[in-house]
Amino acid sequence: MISFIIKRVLLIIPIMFVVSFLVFTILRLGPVDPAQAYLLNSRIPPTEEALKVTRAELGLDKPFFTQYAIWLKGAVTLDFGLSYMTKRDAFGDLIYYFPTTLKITFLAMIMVIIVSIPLGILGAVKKDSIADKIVKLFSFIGVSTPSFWFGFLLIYLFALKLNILPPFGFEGVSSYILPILTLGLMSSAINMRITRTSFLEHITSRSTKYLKIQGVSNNTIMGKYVLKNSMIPVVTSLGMHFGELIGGAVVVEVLFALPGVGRYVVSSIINHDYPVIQCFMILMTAVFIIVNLIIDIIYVYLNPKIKYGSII
Amino acid sequence: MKQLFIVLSIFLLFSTSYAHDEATLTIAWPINAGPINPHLYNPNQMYAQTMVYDSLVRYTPNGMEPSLAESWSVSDDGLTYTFKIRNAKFSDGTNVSAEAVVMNFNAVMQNKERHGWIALVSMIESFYAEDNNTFILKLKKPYNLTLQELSVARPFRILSPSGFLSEDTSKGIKAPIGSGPWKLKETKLGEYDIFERNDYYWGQKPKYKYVKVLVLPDANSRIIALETGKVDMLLGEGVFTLENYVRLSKDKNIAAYKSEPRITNMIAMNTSKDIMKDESVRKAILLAVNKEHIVKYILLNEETYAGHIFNPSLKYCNINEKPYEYNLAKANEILDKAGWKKHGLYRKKDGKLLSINLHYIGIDPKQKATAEAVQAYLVQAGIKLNIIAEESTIFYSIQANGFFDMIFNKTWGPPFDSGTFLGSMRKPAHADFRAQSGLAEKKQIDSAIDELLISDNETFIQEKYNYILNILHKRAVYMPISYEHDFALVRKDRVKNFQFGNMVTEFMLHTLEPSYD
Amino acid sequence: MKDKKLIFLFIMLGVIILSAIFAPLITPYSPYDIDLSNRFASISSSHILGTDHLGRDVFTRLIYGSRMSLISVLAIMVIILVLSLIIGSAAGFQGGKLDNVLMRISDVMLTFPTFILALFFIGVLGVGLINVIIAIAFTHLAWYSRIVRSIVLETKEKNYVLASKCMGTPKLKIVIKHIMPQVLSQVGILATLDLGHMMLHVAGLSFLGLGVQAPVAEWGVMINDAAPFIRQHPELMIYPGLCIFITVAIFNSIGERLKDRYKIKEDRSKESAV
Repeated sequence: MISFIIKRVLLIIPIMFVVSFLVFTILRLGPVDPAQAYLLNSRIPPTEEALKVTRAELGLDKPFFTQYAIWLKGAVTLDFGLSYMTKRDAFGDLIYYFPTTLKITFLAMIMVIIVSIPLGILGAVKKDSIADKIVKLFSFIGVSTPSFWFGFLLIYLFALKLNILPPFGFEGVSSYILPILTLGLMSSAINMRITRTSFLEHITSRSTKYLKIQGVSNNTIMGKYVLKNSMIPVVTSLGMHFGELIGGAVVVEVLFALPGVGRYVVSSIINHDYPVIQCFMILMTAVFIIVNLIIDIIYVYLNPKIKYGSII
Repeated sequence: MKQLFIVLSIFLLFSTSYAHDEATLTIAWPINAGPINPHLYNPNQMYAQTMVYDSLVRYTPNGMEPSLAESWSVSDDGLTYTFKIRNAKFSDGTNVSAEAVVMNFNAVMQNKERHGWIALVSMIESFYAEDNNTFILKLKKPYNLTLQELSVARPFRILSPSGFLSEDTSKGIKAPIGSGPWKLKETKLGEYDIFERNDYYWGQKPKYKYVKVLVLPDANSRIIALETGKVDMLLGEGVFTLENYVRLSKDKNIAAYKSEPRITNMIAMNTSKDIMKDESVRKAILLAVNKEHIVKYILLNEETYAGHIFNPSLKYCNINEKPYEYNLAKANEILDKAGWKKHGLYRKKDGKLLSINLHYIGIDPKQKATAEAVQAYLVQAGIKLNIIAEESTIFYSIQANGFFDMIFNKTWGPPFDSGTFLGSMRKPAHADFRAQSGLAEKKQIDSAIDELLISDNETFIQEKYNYILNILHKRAVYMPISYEHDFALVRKDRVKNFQFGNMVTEFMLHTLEPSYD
Repeated sequence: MKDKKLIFLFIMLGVIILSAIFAPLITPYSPYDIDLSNRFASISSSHILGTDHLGRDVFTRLIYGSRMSLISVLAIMVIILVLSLIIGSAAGFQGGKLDNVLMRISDVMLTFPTFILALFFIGVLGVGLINVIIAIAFTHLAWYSRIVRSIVLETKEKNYVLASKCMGTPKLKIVIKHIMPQVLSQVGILATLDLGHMMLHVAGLSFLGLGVQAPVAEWGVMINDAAPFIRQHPELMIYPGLCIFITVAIFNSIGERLKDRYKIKEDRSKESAV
């Protein structure tokens, strides 16, 4: 187990390396000239002369691999350059906004777990009952609803009509409730369905029947065997949903005017603020790799049958 | 449950009456007052600068009035101004003297570039203290707007010598100590600024002991604060929306005030930029937008329709030109003739799309709504208008460097309109200069402004005004939208005696009285 | 073989598609007709769903808005099918180094959630509907290429393919004759399941101001437009949201039914990924 974790941690380095190279290359393949983007953001008219000066200033006149090497050298020391828009340290800006994003993502994740797993199990255990039908209906509605629209509906109902929660901005803990509900809806719905299917599969599986014949008590079967085994696909799905939640957080932050990376990143995308976009992608990669690692560890714990090597 | 409710409401009653010590006036503003440096601009808030500092003279619609100077005289050649300084004290108890005034003028003149928009700065030849209470100002040329420009919120306001950090205040000040009705007591970033009555004030003393200015960046939360009684009144440009003004003016607890129109709200078009160089495009834009409808339905008729860049009721500004009236068919005809042909939704000429950018301040709901309407009108003429929300500091730098096709623009209201505003059109750091710079007549316009500002011949001035305003109108440089009013919403149960300041940025809080109704 | 529900769903989808195509016949207004004197008009015979904050007919904008949503998902789908067929076949047939490189790149792409990746591609390409379409297609490409690759690997070993290979049929012909039908049926059905998801992405990106730009009528843009008036006129926001919801729900249901019916395993790409 420990060697597995060490191996995985060591693997982070080459992955980050590859991602950084891809991100850097793809951005340079785009149709927008970074020097032009820089001038646009500085609100300087992009004359030939200004472009030339800016290219030299940003080192864009150097060969591609030199540019990458310079950038990588900075990136290793967390220096991703200055944002074209704000002229502040891109990493510093993102790190300033990042905790809010992570906070709502994690809280939404907790909501997804609390809502989807019990309800999914309920649906499976009481298959075809009214409860099951409600669970199925909920998950159907959940996967088809645009989250930002759902957010507006919540704002309208709870903030404007009932006046019990703040509509926008950050005014204490209660400000988190609506954003988290908005963010967690879709993932809860998907996960609920996966839990239900997986649980059903294991209840009706041959080995469960075998255990029953063996006289193992129903509670033991459910708790030890069915629950543990049926959680394997659920954990995988949760891992994937963490990424979806962070993506959704961008929308939710814009919608609820929360001080997360969302609004900052959206405006840097609109303005071709390359240093910020690069830094954002690297930061995201780091987060996803760590989350994937955690998921895999849980995965191995749940299912010791798989060899550690096979899922690398 | 019911008991809890009673307990809660008693608690609320108690806490509100406690929080509203009658001697404190609470208002709201989007950001903190800043360091309140009298000689600098953003983030120093003008309302705070006028609260804390005095100017030599005060502007009123009926003429100039004494302020720190209790009297003044002008030499026959119009070059020498002699000010008698009042026997007054700064809020730290030190005396106001002609020497202090000299220190302040020195500080301003060290940053001539920065204050270039105010023409007086380039007219000043010298200044000195003749004695302890006589200040002499000498000009290079006679200048008609000298007194008006001395009266504005910044930079010619007087900081106590004890507030100076060094001679050059642009590097910062030690403390905001002035001779105005209020002094700064406490600032908490992102939360509030508290001002306290200046007991040394030479004029009518404020009735309130304190003014607490809550920092509420969101327009909605400001209105909720007023409705729930967290603040006593709201005033100032853009502090609340017109919709909320109309709604709350019907509220029996609230007195709604509206000033005379003061500022022209318009869109400047950049005659030097790509597509916008084409006069037919500019004319078509003016004809394709139904401004009457914008004023009536978006500005809710609370502002006045504007046909020209200056309100014709201003001196010299009533020119004999008919405003551009909404005529979509004609707009389309002009564009067709100019070679802009429709391909699908939008027009093209030589393969180039008729696509134009309009910049607005993202958090200004009025600009946003107006921009959307203009966009929707222009699509009908086949013009693609991209409306771009800007953060406000970026917005002003776009104005300054001319990096726009179209941009919202405002005159500055009294006492700047129209003379000082015309004067600023000669300065490259202004949207107006940038917008006009593509005109063949730009040189003539500038020299006409030069001449009218130093002339004492009324007919001559009028002629020059006619020339300038006619060209700007004919060449379709501006889309005037409305003459803006100032608005205020005041809780009747808290505050009485409200009046508007003479300038848009002057709040006159010292005249307010607590109400015991 | 009769599936009444499926037929019903297809009829619903057909209605939406037809109304998008024949929008100008259905409504007398243009989605750009502004009339400020008639802002926020309530439901009436002339404006069956009222008007918006610029006095434009809401029903008209909804109908025209369906064009944007349908065209964009259709375009995304076509791009994905074509490119994944090329990449997947290349990887599957060629094997070796090419396969390795392509699969490692898709590994990297799969670590990112689609929305974040779409944001990145828009950052590269710039704002606008076409770029959003390309971005979303690209983000799903890795996934679909893997599916195609696994189909290729599976089919490659089938007797009839081996036979035609022996006979010296060129690879391209094999792809067209044997692989493509398989891919179109299997991948097509899986993609139907994703259409709803993609549509939500398009609307979400437009809502953020990265996709379709105002004043063009699009459902996500309409929700954004209506946001400032949510207190007084919540219905302006509810209509376009419902449109997205219904269309996405139809796509999702059709996809589910087709998948169940043809017993297609959704996670097949994962099998081959390990």
